[in-house]
Amino acid sequence: MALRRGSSLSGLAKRGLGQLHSELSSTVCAAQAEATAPLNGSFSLGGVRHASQLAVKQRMRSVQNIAKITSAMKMVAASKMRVAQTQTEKSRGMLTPFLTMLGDLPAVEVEHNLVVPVSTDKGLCGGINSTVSKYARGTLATFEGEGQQNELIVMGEKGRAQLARDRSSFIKETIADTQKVRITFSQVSAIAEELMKTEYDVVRIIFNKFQSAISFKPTIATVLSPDALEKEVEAGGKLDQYETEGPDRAEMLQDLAEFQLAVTLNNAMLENNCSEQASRMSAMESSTKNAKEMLEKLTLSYNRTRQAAITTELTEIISGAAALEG
Amino acid sequence: MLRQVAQRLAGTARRGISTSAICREGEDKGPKEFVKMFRPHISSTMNDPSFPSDFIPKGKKEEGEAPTTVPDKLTLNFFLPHETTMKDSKVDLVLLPALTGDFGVMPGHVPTIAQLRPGVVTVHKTLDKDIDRYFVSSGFAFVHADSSADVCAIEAVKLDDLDPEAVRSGLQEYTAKLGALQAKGDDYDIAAAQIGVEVYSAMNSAMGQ
Repeated sequence: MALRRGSSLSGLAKRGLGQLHSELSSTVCAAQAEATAPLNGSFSLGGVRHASQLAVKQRMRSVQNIAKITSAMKMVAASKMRVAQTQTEKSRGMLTPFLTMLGDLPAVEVEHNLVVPVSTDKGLCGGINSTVSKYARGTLATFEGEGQQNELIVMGEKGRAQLARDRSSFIKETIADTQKVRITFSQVSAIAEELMKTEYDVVRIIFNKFQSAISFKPTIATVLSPDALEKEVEAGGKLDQYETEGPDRAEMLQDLAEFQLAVTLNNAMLENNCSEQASRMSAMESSTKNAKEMLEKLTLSYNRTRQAAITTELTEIISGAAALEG
Repeated sequence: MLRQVAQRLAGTARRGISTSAICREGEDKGPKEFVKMFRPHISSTMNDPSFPSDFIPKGKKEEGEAPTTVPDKLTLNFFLPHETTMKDSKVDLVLLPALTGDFGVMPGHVPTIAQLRPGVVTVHKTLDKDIDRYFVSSGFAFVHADSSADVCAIEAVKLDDLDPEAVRSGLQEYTAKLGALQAKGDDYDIAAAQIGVEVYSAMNSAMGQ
């Protein structure tokens, strides 16, 4: 009976842990490993009547610490999100003129595709990175036709780790550590310049668009290269009805295309950053909830075993005394 | 120059012949077509991706269609990468510092794309009375057929916020730098110094106005 309870307890502990986010950072992981080890050890002793009080107590303490860490992370993410949200919303306006004038042409088929998935550098932020990777894989597969060349420039450590597993041959470059300081337009311009060193006809930027604190839309933004843009214009784009100031139309189109790339990338990075914080906030909130739930169950079982032990001891003493009397 | 004219003529001819063909061509490469191509390559549980054009504010999509009457005010949007300075504000006149020279935009202006140089954007909210002046570093300005204009600058500050002292010392610094560099001759550094001189002298002359 006691043994069964023990195993159900460990099962419960494992289930609770599974619910905690799979991408638990190293600190949390360490705490978790330390906590599970003595617990499993004590259960493997077949003859023990109840779970070791000490092990359960240690486990309780570590779960409590996990809850503290995750709730602190939630608070930090919430405050970062608020800043990121205003920044993101302000950056959106500049996209509108480009989209209305140059149009949104994601299905354009060209020779050189450059896919730029925007991911995060740090984990513990729910599923937003795997979403980006999945859509990046889909985009690569879509344009894998004859005579087409695909390349990946991955932004962010997490996206790199995920895409390197099965698409490592496509990865040309990775750009990481962009979120350590606030994203500025000059930083983004430098990155855009780096992207332009690759020969491409169209850049597809894949990112999570921030909608609200609980919803993000995987979005594919398309930016044509100056040459491709010129071809589109000749094929009858809206741009044709605009008069251009200045003598050199081709040069202006090139500047326009480069500017569009920087503006789109700026918005994509800000959107993804904002989604990251929002996603981390909700992931950490559910982690905290799960840890607290687990702690409750552990406390209950701890107290129950303690009571059982006392009762057993009392019974033993009383029956011993009775035996002496008799 | 000749090529440009030829291009424009060709464009006009195409437009004249068939507008519907152009529209269809645009749709062929649009989001719907992409989703059709994309769908077989992703798992069926995944949602369709979104596109930036899905998020354009409502009523903006038909931009570029010229209305029959010219409104008496210009709709001006003033965007920076990190700020939206003006959104759908109604103004009488905007003066823009284009690369080829300053020009003014009033309601009913022909659709134009202009690259901006460092200079002053003057916004007349009401003509000659309520005037805002901004110094912009560079960027683009678009004038649409529906009497709306977008100014996309990289950096813009109100002219009153510029510090004359800082501008003067900055101009001196870059002029000295340019002089020193021209002797040595690293192209990139020279270009950077030249831009510095250009921007600072534009600021200097803007404040003199």
